[in-house]
Amino acid sequence: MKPRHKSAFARDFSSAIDNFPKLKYELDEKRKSWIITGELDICDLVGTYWGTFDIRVFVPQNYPHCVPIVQEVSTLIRRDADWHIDENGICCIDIGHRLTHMARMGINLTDFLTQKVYPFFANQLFKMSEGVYAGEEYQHYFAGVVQFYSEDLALDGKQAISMLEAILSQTVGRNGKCPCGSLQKLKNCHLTSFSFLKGMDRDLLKQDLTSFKALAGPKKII
Amino acid sequence: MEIYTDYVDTIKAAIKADPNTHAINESYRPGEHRSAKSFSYEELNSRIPKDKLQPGLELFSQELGLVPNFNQRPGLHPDFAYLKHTNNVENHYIVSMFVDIKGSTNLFRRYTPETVLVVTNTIQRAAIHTCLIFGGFVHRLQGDGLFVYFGGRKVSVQEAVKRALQFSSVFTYFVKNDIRTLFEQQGIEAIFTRIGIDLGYDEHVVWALAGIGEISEVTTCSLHTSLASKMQSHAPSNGIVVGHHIFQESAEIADLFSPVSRRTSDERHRYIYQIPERKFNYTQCDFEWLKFLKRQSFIATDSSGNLHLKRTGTRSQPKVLSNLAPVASISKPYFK
Repeated sequence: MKPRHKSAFARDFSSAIDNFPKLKYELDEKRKSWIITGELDICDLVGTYWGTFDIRVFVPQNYPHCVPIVQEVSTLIRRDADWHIDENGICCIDIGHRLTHMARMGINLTDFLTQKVYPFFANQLFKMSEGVYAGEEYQHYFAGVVQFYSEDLALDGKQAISMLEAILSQTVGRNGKCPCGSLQKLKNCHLTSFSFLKGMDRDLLKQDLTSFKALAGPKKII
Repeated sequence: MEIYTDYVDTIKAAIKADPNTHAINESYRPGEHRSAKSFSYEELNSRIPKDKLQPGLELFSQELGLVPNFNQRPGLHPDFAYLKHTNNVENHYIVSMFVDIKGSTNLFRRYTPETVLVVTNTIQRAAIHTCLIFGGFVHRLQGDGLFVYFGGRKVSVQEAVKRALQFSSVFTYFVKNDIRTLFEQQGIEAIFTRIGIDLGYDEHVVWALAGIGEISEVTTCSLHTSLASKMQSHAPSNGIVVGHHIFQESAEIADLFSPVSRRTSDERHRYIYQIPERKFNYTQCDFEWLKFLKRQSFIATDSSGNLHLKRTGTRSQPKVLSNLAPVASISKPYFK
């Protein structure tokens, strides 16, 4: 028997196919996720058609509080870290921190496809044609996380360690001194970065802290 | 999609040249001699020749790999033309389609009959040209509209149904978008289409000569041809209503059909035809033509869902990186 009410995912999917009409979905009970499959056409700003990718998107059943996994199945993209895709075609569309944040806030399928998936594949076509990406990219592995802290959160390695320690130990408030060492109040300094990180999973923050510390090298014992 | 630019430009030129347009747009100067002339029928024939596709539509035709057959005579489907000179009949399936173009009478409020002739003829020629691309046969012109057949001896039922749905969707898109935009710019009430389509299988369709002598045509006698006409009147503005047989032959796109009663919230509209004693109930369905069109292999959609012709053939559009860069640069990928 069909459920009386459409799930949030089914509702959002029926809006998304206005923009992405060659996609369809089915529920995979075993994986506990919806699997979107089909073609994604890429056009530029003036409507010129550039190419089509066969894709698969795994959307966990806790939608909208989830990070969908995007897979390219047409194998048009070289399976290489420099193309931000693994040997199984899983696409690294953005830094995990940003995606986790989106999941916490709750994603909208159309927005996810429009702002993350579509540009990722447009960028691949750009690189296929030009040899480089149109915009920026994160470095691989932890270097990309360092870059994210630096470029997106305005925190260098030392500041990141202080900020993460402050968040994990819950020792700073809006009116307290900013952990970055600027002597300004947090609310006038890194409040946005602080709030972003505070919303992250504590295990991820601990992992980042450990990696930042490892990168900084062993402390000198006096 | 920009495949009808040449047709739209012709209509634009006719409207611009209309003496009444001049009268509205120009201030009156006493003693000035008005010499404005309507866009002539000869000009129409030179800009949109009856037997030649315009460049945009020709490109579209090439992209689809389809060649229109201009050697048609209304009322004489080539596969059944032999019946004209016999007393025979033949049973053969056919897809019947009625394309009604509504609202053109309003044009007389604003324009001279010469201009209206050019506008309506251009729209009708766009319909005929598109129909021919998809392998349709224009059986009869009805006012501004068309009575069209799809199918024949060398075409499978499923192919005929698909082509009929493709033609009706592309043409409805033209009227709903290109023509509406143009008319809105001119402050004219919109013209719209209403289309009814049905399929009669071999056992439901009898081909025969109707009429006498030269006042005749080789036509179908079929409940499903009659129902196509009836369903057209049940279609909403720029809507397409199809019979159950069309739905039955379109398994891959079954999600695009819904009973008309769902739209009207009136169960009496579920069936277009019933024979209670035979328990025959024939359903009419609304067809979601825009979704269908967007799924076609010759169409690409951008991230906002706008339609574009793919143009992968020899006359493909030049790809300009600076047009792709703003879309691509939103992405900032990572690798873990």
